Amino acid sequence: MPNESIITVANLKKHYGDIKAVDDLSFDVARGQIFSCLGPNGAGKTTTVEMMEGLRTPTSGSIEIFGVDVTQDYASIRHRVGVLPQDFIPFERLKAPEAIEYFGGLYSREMSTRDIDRLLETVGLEHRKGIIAKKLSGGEKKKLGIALALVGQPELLFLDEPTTGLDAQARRNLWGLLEDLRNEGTTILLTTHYLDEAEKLSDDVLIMDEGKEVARGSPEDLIGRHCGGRSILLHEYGEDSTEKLEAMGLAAERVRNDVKITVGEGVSVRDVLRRLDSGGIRYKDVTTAEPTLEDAFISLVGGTIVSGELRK
Amino acid sequence: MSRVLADLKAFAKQFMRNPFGAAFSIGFPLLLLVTFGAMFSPSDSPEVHLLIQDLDESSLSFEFIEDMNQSAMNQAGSFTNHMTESTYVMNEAVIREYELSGALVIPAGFEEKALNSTPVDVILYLDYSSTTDGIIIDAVDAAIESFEASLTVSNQVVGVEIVEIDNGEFVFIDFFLPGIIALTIMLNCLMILPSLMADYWSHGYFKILKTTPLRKWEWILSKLIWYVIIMGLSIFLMLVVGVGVLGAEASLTPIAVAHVLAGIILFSSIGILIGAWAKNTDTAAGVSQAIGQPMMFLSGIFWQLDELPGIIQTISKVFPLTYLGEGLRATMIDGNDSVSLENLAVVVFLAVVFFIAASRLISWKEK
Ligand SMILES: Nc1ncnc2c1ncn2[C@@H]1O[C@H](COP(=O)(O)OP(=O)(O)OP(=O)(O)O)[C@@H](O)[C@H]1O
Ligand SMILES: [Mg+2]
Repeated sequence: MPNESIITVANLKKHYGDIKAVDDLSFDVARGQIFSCLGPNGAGKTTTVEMMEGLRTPTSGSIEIFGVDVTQDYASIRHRVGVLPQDFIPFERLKAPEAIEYFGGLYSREMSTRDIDRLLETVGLEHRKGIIAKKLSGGEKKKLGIALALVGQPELLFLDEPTTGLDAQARRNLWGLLEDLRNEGTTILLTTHYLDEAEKLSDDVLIMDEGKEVARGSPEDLIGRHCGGRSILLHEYGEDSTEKLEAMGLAAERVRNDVKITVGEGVSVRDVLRRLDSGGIRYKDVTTAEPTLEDAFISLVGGTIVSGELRK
Repeated sequence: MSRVLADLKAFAKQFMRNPFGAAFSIGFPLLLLVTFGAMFSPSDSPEVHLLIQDLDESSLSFEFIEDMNQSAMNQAGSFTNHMTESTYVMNEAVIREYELSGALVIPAGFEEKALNSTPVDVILYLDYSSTTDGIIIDAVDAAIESFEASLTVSNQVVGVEIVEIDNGEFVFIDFFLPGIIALTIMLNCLMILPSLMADYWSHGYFKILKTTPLRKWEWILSKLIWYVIIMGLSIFLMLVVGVGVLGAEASLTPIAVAHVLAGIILFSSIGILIGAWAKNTDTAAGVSQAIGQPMMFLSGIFWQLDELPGIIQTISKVFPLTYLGEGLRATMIDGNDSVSLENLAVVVFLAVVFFIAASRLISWKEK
């Protein structure tokens, strides 16, 4: 069954005193998709995910996974789910292969040395087999955490910020791995503050802020709905204000020395450039840009983006 | 069960790689045993008080006593002989009452039989577990040898019949060995386990485990099995050193094994309760020390309870370690199984109560 829901969350709330960490959240996750939970620090992503993992008790609302109410009986689905917590620390005195063997035992999966090696290779830890986890680097620890989440060959994978702390190469490798898993039928729910990651990987994105849903849809959908289409960047625009451009009916905005003009629906870039020329607007150079999830996010949440990462 | 084994294997590796864990389970108890054992080891020349009872009162029996005095003088240690009247009935109670090392009885008809070359036995009341048994046997053997040499009749006439008794002598290592075994169990299960669990909280290990199919009771069971293994090894080494090197007279009886198992379940359960409740290293260490340290010093492990003030004797009754220590001592040293079983009943009862409490009450969930 395509689009069958594997997770159904309804009116979920988690309050810590006056803090509404999660405030009336409802969504569902379809089988075989990569679902991203996107939002700035403190948006309530971890709280939401950990309630789904049976680690925190909701103040109210319901969570069904595989048709099971996890607030009542998480235990019955544990063998079908893999989890990487945001604050994962590996068992410090175990070596990576030992930790994998351990989890193999917990998930009743007989792991041969070859299985273990293959999993270590999958996450890029094959050269770190001999040292105890305490001595792994931060990124290597995260890789081990991902490996442990995969040991049980889960149908559903929860990854809370899986790429934070990974170098660019490792991030890309993980993206590839997650796409492979998705193609093999695994449902993946991840949280991230990297917009490019959410845009590239996800089939479905939930943008949240202050415990609430801000927007929901596929990346294309969100971009289409919340950004005004493509934009033109005028480099070294001659004047101080964008008044002149606005008077011409263009949606313009200063970005340091440059000016960004959003090209509306049904308008071509060439039209806009022609209008600029006839209006005597001077600039040194021009580039065009496709809108990204970043633009959608800024228009929705109003934060800033520093090197691809969300800030509010 | 495969989950329990997987957890056991992983925990064992982590435990043995933690120098702290190995030191407290194996090294520390051995060190205590050797230090205290050597400090209170019996001297090379102990005092021997041997009572000689002459029921024959003949010239040959006098002669034998002379020989006995002579050979006693040649022995190491200070030897004192007491003569008693012949009406006295010799038994263990007499020996204990007068704090004697042992007694030698020359039977009536001794002279007559010796002169007729009819074999005759002197009766030696001896405590094999005491520090003086060897000296007494040597002295008696030497006396018989010189007595027979002076007889004109053939030798091999006088023999020794040994009646085994418990002379009530206090031998520190015998007292200490069962106590240190009990203490080691308490120390590791009640005082160290909560700190290991605090580590699990602070590193988020319980959180990770909670998302896996491992159940809470499986985790608890694996800890109990581990402590049986590591305490078993530790106790084995203590027995090797205690009996083999320090000369303790202890035997590992089935009742002692039952005590060890019940003790591990009892103290691990208390440890798990503390660890589950405390959730951080400082609280865990604070609480387990507040409970463990008074128990360590007031449960008759280092000092005999009946030599301590009455108030401490009363306090000691609330500490489960008292019952474990007494029970082990009764069966391992004194061979007094009924006393041991009484103590075992207390330990088993508490073990059941705390085990149920631990498996019911602990939660892996954070608030
Ligand atoms: N145990 C707790 N007690 C009190 N407040 C909490 C607790 N856990 C989370 N919060 C609060 O709930 C809000 C949401 O936190 P959460 O960790 O879910 O955010 P997040 O979206 O995962 O953020 P980040 O991107 O930084 O990981 C925050 O304001 C946080 O301070
Ligand atoms: Mg988070």
